[in-house]
Amino acid sequence: MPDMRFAPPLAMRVNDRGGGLNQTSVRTYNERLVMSLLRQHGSLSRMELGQRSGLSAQTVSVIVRALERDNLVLAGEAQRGRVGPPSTPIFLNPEGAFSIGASVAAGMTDVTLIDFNGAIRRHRQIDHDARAPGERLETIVAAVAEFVAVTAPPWRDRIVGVGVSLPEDIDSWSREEPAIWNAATVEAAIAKATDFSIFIQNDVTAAAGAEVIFGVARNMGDFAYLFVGRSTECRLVLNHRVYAGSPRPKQGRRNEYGGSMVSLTDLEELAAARSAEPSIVWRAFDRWDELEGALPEWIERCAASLADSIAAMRAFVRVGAVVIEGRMPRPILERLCQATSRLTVEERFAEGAPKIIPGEIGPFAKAIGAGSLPLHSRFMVEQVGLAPT
Amino acid sequence: MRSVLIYGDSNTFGQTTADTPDDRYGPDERWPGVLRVKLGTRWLVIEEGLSGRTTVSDDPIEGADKNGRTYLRPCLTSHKPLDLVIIMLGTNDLKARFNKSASEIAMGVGALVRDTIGMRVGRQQKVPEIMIVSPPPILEDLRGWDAGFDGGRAKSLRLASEYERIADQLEVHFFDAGKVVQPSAVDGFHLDREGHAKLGAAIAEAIADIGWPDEL
Repeated sequence: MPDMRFAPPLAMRVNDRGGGLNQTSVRTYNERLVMSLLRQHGSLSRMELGQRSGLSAQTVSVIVRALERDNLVLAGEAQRGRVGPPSTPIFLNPEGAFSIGASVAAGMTDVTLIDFNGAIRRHRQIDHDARAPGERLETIVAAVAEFVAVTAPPWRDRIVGVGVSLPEDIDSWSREEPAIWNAATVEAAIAKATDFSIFIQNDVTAAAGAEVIFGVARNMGDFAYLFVGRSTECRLVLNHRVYAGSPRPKQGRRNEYGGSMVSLTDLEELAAARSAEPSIVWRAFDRWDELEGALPEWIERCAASLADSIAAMRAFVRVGAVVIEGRMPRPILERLCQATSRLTVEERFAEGAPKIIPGEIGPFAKAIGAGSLPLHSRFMVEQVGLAPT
Repeated sequence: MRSVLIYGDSNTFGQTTADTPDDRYGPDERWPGVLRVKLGTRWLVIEEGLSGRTTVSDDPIEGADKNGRTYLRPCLTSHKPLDLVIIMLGTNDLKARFNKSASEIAMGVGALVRDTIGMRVGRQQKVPEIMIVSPPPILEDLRGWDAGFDGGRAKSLRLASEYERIADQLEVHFFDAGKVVQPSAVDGFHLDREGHAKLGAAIAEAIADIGWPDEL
């Protein structure tokens, strides 16, 4: 029997350094911890990674090498320090992994291919108001399959999964055909078309999660999240976790839950009343010049309802920041945030008002949030849990 | 002051490519000297390069002194405490008389790493940082040395990935010198002045990337 201390080492998980990517391998906890730290801080030297993770320099060295071999991290240009030779920053490779994220809504579905940093590399909006519910599902499944097919290697080999986000009231859409639309039927339909693991989540929860993982909230422990879409909904994020609350009772109308906030549905109605083309609300994401006749009033009304909700929430829990996102052009979101901030600060809190921050994820946050689910599951730890910096 | 010991062979010693046995590049020309300049005054660079040194074998022709394993213990002990030990060996193990595969050469390096870990020559009897450097592959044309290195080129091309496996297994730092330098065409296995300058600069960066807190 040979001395097992001198047994040959195990083969590396990847086919040496030939570039053979082995994304199916399970990343160790420490590897995911290192990637989560890089996600949170943008880029870190190996020494900083060691200090923040508590791992030894040699362990960090081994982990970074393994992640480099799998193209998940890149080494940047060496940065000159105060003394001695320069040291190299490590950051996540945006093209290290990809994911397909789809957000389903009553009138339309956004299908996206997102990269490792949550940036959209491909997007399609599928309008399906006129289609029968069964047809809508088929269209979405076909789009997911097509997104995989048209993605060229090596990106295609780096797609790690499919995420789908669904609105809370999805069950109520198809009361006549209850079997067609719910989390289980959507998952089953997509599973038939692809081999990927499939993740399903509520759409606003997913959008808030995207902000935590990729966006402005990467270093925020606690905040409130408001998403202004077809309806306007709120999530509370405590200690980097999105708290979705208890599910609403099924079959209800949203106005029955009280305190319903002004949403894009109201803008659509207002635009129609001012004889603007209301469908622009759902079709344009760069500018809403045609809606300017309705926008000032809508922004004031929406901001007032958001400020009311923020004030109500503050009676229960004090968070330092409120992130507002919406399916709208960035300049409109800025105006909405400014109006909300003004109302919150001037009219409700003399001091200690929460900071109102526009989201960084963009109008398709619900789809990006869906796409973040497979990436999170594969490459990140539950929460980094370090003090915000 | 931090200290790094470089445990190597003729390419650490600074053996010139000229065919004159005792020729050695100057203290600032050979890569440990280049490294010393790059690292600055906060580092003590200890050069331990011996021409002909193997990983773990007595050399039946050149002598038992070439065995890297037997000299490692007195060497590290006489220079402790050490912050970093760099091991760049394996080229001499390619000689046909040792009849070793690339993975066995890597296992020899692994044995040196294990010995180093066990000796605890770091500060406060801790294990120092350890970096395995895989030597650059030798060239096809060895200018008369070919017989001694029969089959060496093919094996040398596999050293880097075998060394990296060992480094992963033992959780130590790794640097592939073949990524920045190759031997001079003059003899096919020694570095020229430019190679020493490049390697010294690259290793300086690899050392900086480990990260060293200001306080010892």
